This record gives sequence, C-alpha cells and structure tokens, in this order.
Amino acid sequence: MNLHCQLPVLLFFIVATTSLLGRGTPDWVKNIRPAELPQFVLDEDPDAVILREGKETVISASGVFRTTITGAILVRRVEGYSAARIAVPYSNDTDKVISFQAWTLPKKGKPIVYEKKDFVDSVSSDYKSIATSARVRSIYARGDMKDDTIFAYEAVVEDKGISSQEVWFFQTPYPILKSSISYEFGAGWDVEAKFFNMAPIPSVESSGKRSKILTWTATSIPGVERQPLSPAANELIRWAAFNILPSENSNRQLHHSWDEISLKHTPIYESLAVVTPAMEEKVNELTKESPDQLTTIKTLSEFAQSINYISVALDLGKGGGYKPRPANEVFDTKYGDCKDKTNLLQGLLKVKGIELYPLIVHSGQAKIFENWPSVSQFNHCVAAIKVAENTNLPATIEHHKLGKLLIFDPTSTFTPFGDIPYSIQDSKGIILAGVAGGLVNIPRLPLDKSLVKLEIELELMSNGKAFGVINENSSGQAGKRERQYAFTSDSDYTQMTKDWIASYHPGAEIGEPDRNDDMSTGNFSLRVEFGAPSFAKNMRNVLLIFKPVVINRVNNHPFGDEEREQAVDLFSYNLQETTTIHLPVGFEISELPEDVSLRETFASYDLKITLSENTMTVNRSIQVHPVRVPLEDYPTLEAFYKARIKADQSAVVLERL
Amino acid sequence: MVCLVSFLAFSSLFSARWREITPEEFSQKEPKIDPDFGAEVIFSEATLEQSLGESGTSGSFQYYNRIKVFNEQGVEQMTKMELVYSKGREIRRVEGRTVKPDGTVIKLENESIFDQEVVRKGRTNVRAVTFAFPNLEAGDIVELQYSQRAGKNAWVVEMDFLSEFPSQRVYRKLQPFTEYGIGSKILTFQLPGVELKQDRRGAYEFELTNLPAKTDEPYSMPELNAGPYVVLYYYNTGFEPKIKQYWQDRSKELYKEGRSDLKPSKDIANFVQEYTAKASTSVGKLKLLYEWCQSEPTNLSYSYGVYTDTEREALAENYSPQHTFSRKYGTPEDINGLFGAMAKSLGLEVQLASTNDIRDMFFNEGMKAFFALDDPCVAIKFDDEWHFYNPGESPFLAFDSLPWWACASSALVGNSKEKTLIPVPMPPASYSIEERKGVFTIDENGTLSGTVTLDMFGFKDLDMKESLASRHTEEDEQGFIIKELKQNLANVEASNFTFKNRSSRNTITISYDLEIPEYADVTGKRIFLQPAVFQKNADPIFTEEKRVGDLLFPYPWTEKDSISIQIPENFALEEGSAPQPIDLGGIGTYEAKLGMTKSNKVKYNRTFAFNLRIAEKKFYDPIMKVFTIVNQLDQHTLTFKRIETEQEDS
Repeated sequence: MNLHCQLPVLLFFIVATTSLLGRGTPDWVKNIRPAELPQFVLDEDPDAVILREGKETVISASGVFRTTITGAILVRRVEGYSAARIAVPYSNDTDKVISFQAWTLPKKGKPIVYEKKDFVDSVSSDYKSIATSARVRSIYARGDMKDDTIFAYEAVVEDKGISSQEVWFFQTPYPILKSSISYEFGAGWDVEAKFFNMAPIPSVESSGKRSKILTWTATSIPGVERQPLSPAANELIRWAAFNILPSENSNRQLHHSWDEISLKHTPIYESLAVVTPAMEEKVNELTKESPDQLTTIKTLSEFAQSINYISVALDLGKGGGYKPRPANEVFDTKYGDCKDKTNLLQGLLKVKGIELYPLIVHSGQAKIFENWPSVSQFNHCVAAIKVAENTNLPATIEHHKLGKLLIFDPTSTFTPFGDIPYSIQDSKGIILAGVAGGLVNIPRLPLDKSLVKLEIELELMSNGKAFGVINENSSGQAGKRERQYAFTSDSDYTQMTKDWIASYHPGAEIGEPDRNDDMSTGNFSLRVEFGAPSFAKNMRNVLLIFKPVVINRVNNHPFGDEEREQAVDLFSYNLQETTTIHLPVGFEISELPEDVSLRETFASYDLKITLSENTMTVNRSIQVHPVRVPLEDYPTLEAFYKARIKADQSAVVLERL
Repeated sequence: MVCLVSFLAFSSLFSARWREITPEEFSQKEPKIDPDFGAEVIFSEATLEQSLGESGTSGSFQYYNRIKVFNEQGVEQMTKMELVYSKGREIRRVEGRTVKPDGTVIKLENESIFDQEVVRKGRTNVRAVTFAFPNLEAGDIVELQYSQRAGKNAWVVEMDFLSEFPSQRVYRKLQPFTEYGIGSKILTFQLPGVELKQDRRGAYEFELTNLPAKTDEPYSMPELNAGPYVVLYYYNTGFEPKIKQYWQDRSKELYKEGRSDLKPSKDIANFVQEYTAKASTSVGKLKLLYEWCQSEPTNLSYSYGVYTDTEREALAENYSPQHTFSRKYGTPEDINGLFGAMAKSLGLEVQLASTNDIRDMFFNEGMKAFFALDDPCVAIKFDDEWHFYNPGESPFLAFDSLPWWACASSALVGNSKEKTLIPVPMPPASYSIEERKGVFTIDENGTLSGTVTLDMFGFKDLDMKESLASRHTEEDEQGFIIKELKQNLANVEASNFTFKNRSSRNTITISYDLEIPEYADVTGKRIFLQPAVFQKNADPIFTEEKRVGDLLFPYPWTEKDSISIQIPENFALEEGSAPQPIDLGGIGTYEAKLGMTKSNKVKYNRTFAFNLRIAEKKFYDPIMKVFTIVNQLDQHTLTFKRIETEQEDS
C-alpha cells in the first residue's frame, strides 16, 4: 500500500474520532494522549500515570474564586482501573459546581462523554454529624476502563467563601507528568506560595486582561505510596500552600501569623460562651462541695466531657467550621462537637472566674508546619485552662504569657482529667487568647504515664491443662484504649476479652470478665479467669511443652512485607508483665529459654524466667518509645522485632521424672 | 410470645399525640430482655393503611417508638438518629422528645431536625432526616413518631419486627386496599400459631412481645426465616393462581412462557446439528451445548473486561433465543433460554423451571407466593426424569448441578396440565471437596517452606471460581488466597501462584509456594511441629456461648489434607502419637493419620466431612463442641529431638 492511499483513510479516522468527542470537549482533552511515556514512568511501571493535573483560579475584584480543575490519568492495566475517578469537594453555603465534564478515551474505539446523570453528588459528613454543608461531586469511571484508557475531567467551581488559603499536592501514589496551579488576579490581590518536602518552584508570570497570572508547574514527579507506620502524608509527599492576599474590599480572610489567628478567633469563642441563669445554677450545684479550684475545674470539665458528641457543621464556606454553637444552646441540648464542648466549658468556668482558652489542634498523624500560619492545618479543638502554678499534673504546659495551662480534651470521653489524648500529644496548637495567644507546643507525656501492668497466675496440670487468672491494669492512654473497647456501643468487651484469650489458647473456657474503671485515677482494670484445655502440649504423658509468655505474644512485625523505603514512626507501648506458673508435680525442666534483654534507643525488651521449687516466674517488660526511626536504622528495628518475636514465641519443655 | 389482637383494643392508640408513660416504665433500671444491651424498646408500633389511586398505591406508615436508655452505651447508640428515605418514600411529621426519670420533657425542636440530600445521581436521590435527641442521659426515655409514605408502587410491603435493641412489645397493623380485580395476600414468617384474621375494616394486626435484637451470627438463616416478618402483596385476580391450585397454575404459566422463550430458530437448529455431530449420545450433545452456552455468548453478569459499563448499557435487549444466539451476549435468563432452545432442537422435552434460593428464604409447598420459587432455570427430560440446568447463572456451574442455594428444595417445572414440583436433592459431603496437598520442609529455625496444591470439587469448586471471578486483577485474586492464609498465620508468605481450569469443564487447581517463618516451636534441643498446616492457629468456627437463631450451613462439605514435611536430618521423632479418633455423632466424620518415612518425612492425612445443613438453635451446643474438638485435634503436635547421628533413607 502506498502512502497516498493510506493518508486519507488515516485522516478520516482521526477526524471521526475527534468529532465523537463533540464541540464541548476542550482541545487539551482531544490532544492528551502522549506518543510515548517518559523513561521515569516506564522504569516505575505504575498501573496508572497522571498525564496532567491542574487548577486555575480566577479571582474577581470582589473576591469570588472561579476555579477550573483539570486532570487526565492514563490507566495502563486492570490494577489501575480504580484510579479513574475524581471528586470535587464544595460547601453548599458558598460554593457552586458550575460545570463538570468527564471523558473516557480508550486507545481504540468510541470515547465516552459523560452526561449529568453520570455524576454523583453526595453529602460529606462524618460519623456523628447530623447536618453539614460539606458536599462532594464525583464521578467514578472504573467500569468503563480498559487497558491504556485515559480518563479526563474538567470541573469549574465558583467559591464565594471567606478562606484565603489553599494547598496543592504535587505528588500522589501515581507518577505525574505535569502538575500545575495558577491564580489570575487584578490590582490589590497577590498570591504567595510555600513549598513542603520539595524545592520551591519559581512562579511564571503572565498577563491576562487587566490581570496578572502566576503559575507554578512541576513535571516528571515520581509516585509515592505510604508504607505501614510511615511518617504522616504531609511529611512525605511534595505539596505547596498558597496564601491569597486579598484586596481591602474583599471579605476573604488571611492570617499572616499565628498571633493574628488568635486575635481574630478569640472574640468569636468569647462571644459565644454565653452563660444563662440555668447554667450558673448547674455550675453552682456541681461545685458546691469543691474544696479547691482544681476540683472545680475537674468537675466542670467532666461535665462538658459527658455531653454527647454530635456535630452540626453548617456554613463551612463562611468559616462555620471554626465557630462553635452558643454555649447555652449546647447546654440545653447536651450535645455538641469538639468546639461546642470546649466553648461550653469556657462558659461554665467563666461562672467561677476561671479562664479557659480554646486550643485548636490536629488530632491524628500530621506535622504542623510552623512557617505556614493557617487554621486549615488543624481539625480539632480542646481546652487550655488556667490553673495554679503549683498544679502538678502531667497534662500541663507553661505558657510564657498565660502561665500554667492544663490541657483537657472534653471530646475524648475516655481520657481522664489530667491526661492528654495520644492523638494530640507531641504536636502544636493555637491558643486562642487574644494578644497573648498563638502557637504552642503540646507535650508528649512520659512513657510511664501510660502503662499496661499484667499479672497472670496459672496452675499447670500434668495433662497439659491449665487454670489461671489474668489481672490487667491499664493506666493513662492505655487505660483510655481499654475504656474505649469497654464502653463504645459497637464493641462487645466481654466477647473481645474472650476472643483475646482464645486467640492464644484455642478452646479456652473463659469466665465473665470483671472490669473496674476509675476515671479519677485513669486506671482501668480487668480480671478474668480462664481454663485452657491444651495450654501445654502433652506428649504421651512424658513431655509438656508450653510458651511461658501466656498472652500478647507477637508473631509478626507491623512494618509490612515490602522493601522499606520510609522511616518508621513508632507508637508508644509500655508493658510490665509478671506470670506465675505453678508447675505440676512429677516433672522437671528439660528445656528453658534463655533470658533475653534487648536495648535500643527506640525500644527495650526483657524476658527473664526464674524458678523456685515448682513455681516458674516469667517477667517480661517492653517499652516502645514514640519516636521516628530513620530509614538507615530500619535493619536495627527489624532485628529488634525479630528477636522479640523469637523470645515471645520461645517454649519451655517439662519432662516427667 | 405471639398473639393477634383485635382492632378494637387498639382503636384509640393514635388519638393521643404522646401517650402517658407508666410508672413502671419510668422506674425500670435494667433491661428486661437482654442485660447486654444499653437500651430496650418499650414498644414499637407501625401501621400502614393503603389505598389505590390513579397513579398507583398510596398510604403512609405511621411509626411510634418508645425506648428506654439504661447506660452510656445506650446513650451513644441513641444520640444520633438518621431516617433515610428515597423519592416517593418521604418521611414527614417527625416529632421526638426526651423524657427524664422525673417526668421532665425536653422536646425535639423543629430547627434541630435536618432533612438533607445524602446522595444524588441522575434522577435517583436518597435523603435523610437527621437529629439528635436533646439532653439525653442514661435513665431517660426517648419517644419518636413520624410518618413515611409507602410509595406509589408498593405492591409488595414487608414489615419486620426486630430492631437493633431487644423489644418488649412490637405492634404492626396492615390495612390493604380493596379494589375490584386486585386481591391481596398476607404471608407470615416465623410467626408460629398466628391465625390470620381481618377486622371488619380489613386490617391485619400483629403483636409480639419480648423479642431479641437483630443479630449477625455466622451460619444464620435467611433474613425472612430468621426473624418474624409479615409480607403483604397484591395480585391481579384475573391472573393470580387460585390458592388451592396455586403451584399447578404456576406450572401452567411456566409452560406458556416456555413455548416462546425456548423456541429454536433455524439458525440455532443448524448450529446445534453441526456442533453436536461429534457427540453420540443426547447427554453428550447436551453437555457440549451447555459448555458452549457458558463460554461463547458473553454472560452480562460476568462481562467485566468485555464490555464497559457504558457499552453494556447501550446493548440491545434480547427478546428471543435467536437474538442471544446471533448477538452473542445475554442476561443469565437469555442464556438459559438459548440453552433450552438448543436442547429442544435436539428433540428433547424441555420446559422452563423455577427453583428456590435459600439465601433469600426457604420454600415449602404451603407457601403460595411466586417469590418462593423465583430462580429461573431449564428442565430437560430424559430417561423419564427431569434434569435441571442453569448455564446462565454461572459460567462455572458444573453440567450436572444446580447451584447450592437451589438444592435441598423443589423445582417447579412448566406443565400445561398439572403441578410439577420436583425435589432437588442436596449432594452429600463427598460432592463438595476441598483437597489440599502440601509438600514442605521445616528447618532448624522452625521455618516451614514448600508448595501447596488446592483442588476444589463440587460447590467448593463453584464458590472458589466465583470468588476469583469477582476479583479482576491477579493481585486481588492472589490477595484473596493470602488473606485467608494470614487469618491464621500472620507472617505467611505465598508466591508463584498458578490457577488452572477456570471454566466449568474441569475443577480448579491452585498452586503456590508457601513460606512460614517461626512455624514450628523450636527450643535448644527440640522442634515441636503441628502437621495440620492449614489449621495452624485457626480459631473454632463458633466461639459465642449463646445462640439466638437457628443454623444454616450452605452445603455439606469435605476437607482432605495430605501433608508431607521433611524434618532436618539431625532431628529424630521423640514423640509421635496420632490424634485420637472421634465420633462426631452422625453429623460428620474426622480422621487423621500420621506416619514417618525412613527419610525422616512426616506424612499426615486428614479428612473432615460435615454433613449437616440445618439445625435448630437448641442443637448449637453439640455442634459448637464438634468444631471445638476438631480444632483441638488439629493442633496435634509432634516432637523431634536433636541427634548426633544421621537418619538414612531405606
């Protein structure tokens, strides 16, 4: 076939395919398929590759943001089909999805232009929310994928909210060929960028009609997937924060410093810490027998803690997420979210002349970047209560202007007064205290403040059966964890306890667990009796073999099977365990595991077995410090866990005399 | 306890907006029915009065619930309420209140009740009314009333009696509409002793007391058979079979449908003649056609990767076997129709048939409802017996089988004259076999490594193929196997998977390499080895002491394990007893044989067969014990002691 014959056919095919996309399809979509993929992608060989991701925001003089979000992802094989999705979040009080288009472009065959009916609009609420303005418009095209198919989308969202800060992620689990973000704005506006986990990208400036356009573009970005116990996502991936400096006549709000955030938000809380006569009466009733101020604080804090958690998250585009419901309303309904509970407590303490400063924090794993003052780095609100300088509780911080402050989380129902939930420890938060407020460090409580103390006593019979009792006492955050299992509606603590023992001793007969919770000390204790029909393996009535670590034996490390590429963030764990095993008469020790003592900077492990007549005492202690283990030290960490597993799984052999 | 109550007794129930709370209800401190629950329904009442208009059915459910909250757990469960509804099923007039033990009433204010759209796609949307009971604390009583439209096409209405909490009293009232040409029926499930009676206005009333909460137990009965249920449905009196000859009339209907739905075209007949020429018997020809129907036309229920969603939506509907044949795709029913038409062109007697689906409900002949036998298949008569085929249901279903959910029941066969209900037997445990072979080596550190081969037969084969087919990537398929292994052995590593025989023609074989670090317990002198590798660390199936509902096992099955483990040459058997034989009392068999070869290999053969399918809850204890004993026997361990001299192979 000669070229002259072939060309018209080819041209016809291209024209026909393009026309199938219709006139509404942007050119960038029509031309998105690359002739070939770059070498870095081929080397990585991902299931999908993002060909482009972009966000272009045009800012009107009055501060309305009109943002066009575009993207295209090439799905290479079936494992990547689920990448064919896009979700656009918005708040229905201020935002509007103006248009949303999406396309599927197979390598061969007819492209698909999605219609309005193909998009899903859903509420975006959490577990205990009864109302929210947060919504998400999305499309999931997995069912239309074949190998080498491109999924592309373009959405336009109008945002009339008050936020003036945004973030953009330049890195995802899939490699990206090109990622860009731009802002177009007129006189009086400006945009500045801060980059995290990456070198700063210089902006490219261009001109629109009486406007300036700043664009930041990154290309050839490798994909990154988080490994188990890796550092927080915002410490791993490349991202940028954008401060949009509003013009004077805009209602957009930008805070230039942590102090400014405190200044702006403090009056909001103060004005809503409304106190009614009914509240005053309740405060006086609750505290009439309080011997001192700390008891008063404790009593009122626990009252706020007892309020049911329910979230009403309306007007999020107008800053509703940072504004509590009035304290009197929360008091009347006895429900609220974290800021409602904190604000209620602020009102209650006000009756007694005690200062409470709302403390805005992040609950969960995330680094707070100090060089980007922004409330969007936080998701939770707790209380910082002014206490006497001689207050001796671990949950206190010394503030250079406000003096001694006690941190209390009224939302964490199971964390006792004087303790701090693990999820906000060793982080930062903003104290809302007017001019005295600003960013503060929240301490990591010492390891000994959270302890699991296990005492196990067993009677081993000559046939391998054993009867015993487990006494477990958990304090601090370890106690909180147990409490959560015991009192959360979805969990069946009795069954969990039984499953826990049965997982180490199948077929065990387990008595009714006897639990005792003392929130005043933070101690949660559990006592349970059990009988294990095959605690020791009975070998022809000659040998008895059993594991002296009776419970909580580890048989696998938690770091995943993949080759380690990221540092490890350890969770704290503090165990002291004493097991007393009364051995059957007529047996002697044939084999006994050697004592083990492991010492690393991040953790320690000790297992020591002593014998006294017919009694074996097994002492095990484990301390894991909540520290980051750098990647280069991972082999040491892995070796530590392997040695621990071996020690946990070690066996004693008894032989009949 | 069950009783029918008269309408008169409750005629004034809804005249008062809130009914008085009794002193006993106020003073109740603990649950009466189950102490493990933090709240208890004092009463739950629902009534539906339906009517018929030009645009369909109309009417609303009226709900009135009173719940006592005993502790913090109950408070947490009751605080947030969410009443979800779809278009046509709107929820209206929501009113609630919290009543304190001293009688103080805190009203649920209208501004604290939110009605928001949960999700919308095209014309479909789901909304929810959400609110929180105000000032709720342990010891309070909450009350809730609302109405919900029953919908314009509520021709079948279900009413259940169980909720997430135990209930002291549950009252349900159904008043069907009466209209010329339209009849209504009430079906009851798990309401023993109830005599259906209508009051003078035609309403049915039911009241049950002391009901448990809904449960989620393993091996439970289908929902309709698990708990009390009432189903109201309407029918066209001109077409609905008469009660006395219900299944006879249904047989006639199937016969009529089959005349058109199973009609072979010339194309089909020609193809059948040519394609089956190589087979000499009718059964042989039928098998060829069965496998062709499973593999050649694309079954639209199994078309992932063949058609995209959009392409599937654009496909034309098939109205005849010829359409399915020429277009080479079809729904399961289309494919069954094509297979039936092909069988007809062989000159065989072919009828449409319907079978039961045990996953939805049990069937008994006294149940006069179409949905009791609603799974279509094809019946073919040869050797004077009806044989059933369902190639459309699954491309993996064996030629000589119906799926397990249709077995141990009956099939209704098309017949122009008489009722033809044919029993469908359940194959015995020897039909559904999971055969596992493992050839392993154990090293001195206790690491077990080697290869595993799984062969599946019968319904085990079907279930495995279906599970794999629902996973669309190799990673997912292998992950499914690995996940099962990791349930018992967290540090297991499995690799080099091969999957052979994925069609219905042959049974599936899966093989992979396995490595399990620290599999055996190792001391300075000894290795302690559990030869039942696949059962190592497995928990018994049943661990709960109490059982609320009856038991249903999908089908009887057999596990056959054949294990070989090479022991390090410097270790010798110290203790080598075999597990004790046990008598499983007729519900199954268990046998484990152990031996050592001269080349220092452990040979372990285990067979466990379980024959039971259905058991009342009163038999839970012995059944639980069977699985517990088997679990203990599986843990049988051998001891090997380090020696100085080498063992030699004979």
